[in-house]
Amino acid sequence: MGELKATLSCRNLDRFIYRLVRGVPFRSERDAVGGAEWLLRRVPSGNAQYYDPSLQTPLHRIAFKPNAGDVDGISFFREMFISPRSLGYEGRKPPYYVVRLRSRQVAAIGLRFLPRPDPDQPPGHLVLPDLCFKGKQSAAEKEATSRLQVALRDIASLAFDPTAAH
Amino acid sequence: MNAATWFGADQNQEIRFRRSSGAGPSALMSSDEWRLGKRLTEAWVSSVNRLNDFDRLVDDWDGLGATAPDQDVVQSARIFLSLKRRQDPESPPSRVLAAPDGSVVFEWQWDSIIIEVEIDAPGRANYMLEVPGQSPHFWTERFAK
Repeated sequence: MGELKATLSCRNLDRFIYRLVRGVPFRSERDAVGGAEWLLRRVPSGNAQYYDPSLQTPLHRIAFKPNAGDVDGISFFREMFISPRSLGYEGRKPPYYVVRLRSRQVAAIGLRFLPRPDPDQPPGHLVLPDLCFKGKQSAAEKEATSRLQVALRDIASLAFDPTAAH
Repeated sequence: MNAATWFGADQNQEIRFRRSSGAGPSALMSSDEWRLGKRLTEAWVSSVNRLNDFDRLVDDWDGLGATAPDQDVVQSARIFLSLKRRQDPESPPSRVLAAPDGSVVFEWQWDSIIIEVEIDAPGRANYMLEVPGQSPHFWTERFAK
């Protein structure tokens, strides 16, 4: 128990130092997302081919496709609270590619994002409720969702490449 | 716009022309043609191998909560791939993906043109065509399961 507490407080200290370095020591993960903020998303690496640098359009739109657990929306993370590199090593099957999108551009597509701090997730967790898992969709719904995913793909840029990391 | 147009007369024909330009008709296969044929065969085999790999995926294969592809969907994707190979042996997919919701996605990229086919149920292929400067086109086709 004492060890767990120590680990948690170390983690909190790490988070505080990260925010301090970025000049926002007292920002809360629950604060509204600013227009100039960078949003990060993990993309499977390895053999998944969601990001293939050999292709002219390396990132595939399904990097923004919800899975069955994304009932409240796909997950993003605020760079204000976690670095792309750290995020790339968070999760059950790391490392991940990490892509970066400007929140203003995400909003311009018509997507809302809601801060959803979650102790089981890396810091700065937020969700995009307009891209949530809906099970069976009509053709029109699928088309609309695919358009949004393509729009996200087009504004995303690579922020962390685990294959290039040393 | 439908798949027949795409796989038939439009961009693909142009690409095929570009690929073959410079290599005139000949009874014997040139070394370039042989190399191209070998590369194409390898690319198709690689796509089939990718699909075979999907049989081994389990839920949460990406560590982010993905659903493993449904076996019937993967089998149907194999049939779709073999149909495409017969229709256009010179155009293997650029990549084959297991989507986080369990569907299988094929993608072809030619310059800035992207064609995507998502198999989300046995015998159903959802197409998306992206041409620069245009909004994506969508259509669905059925094929034999």
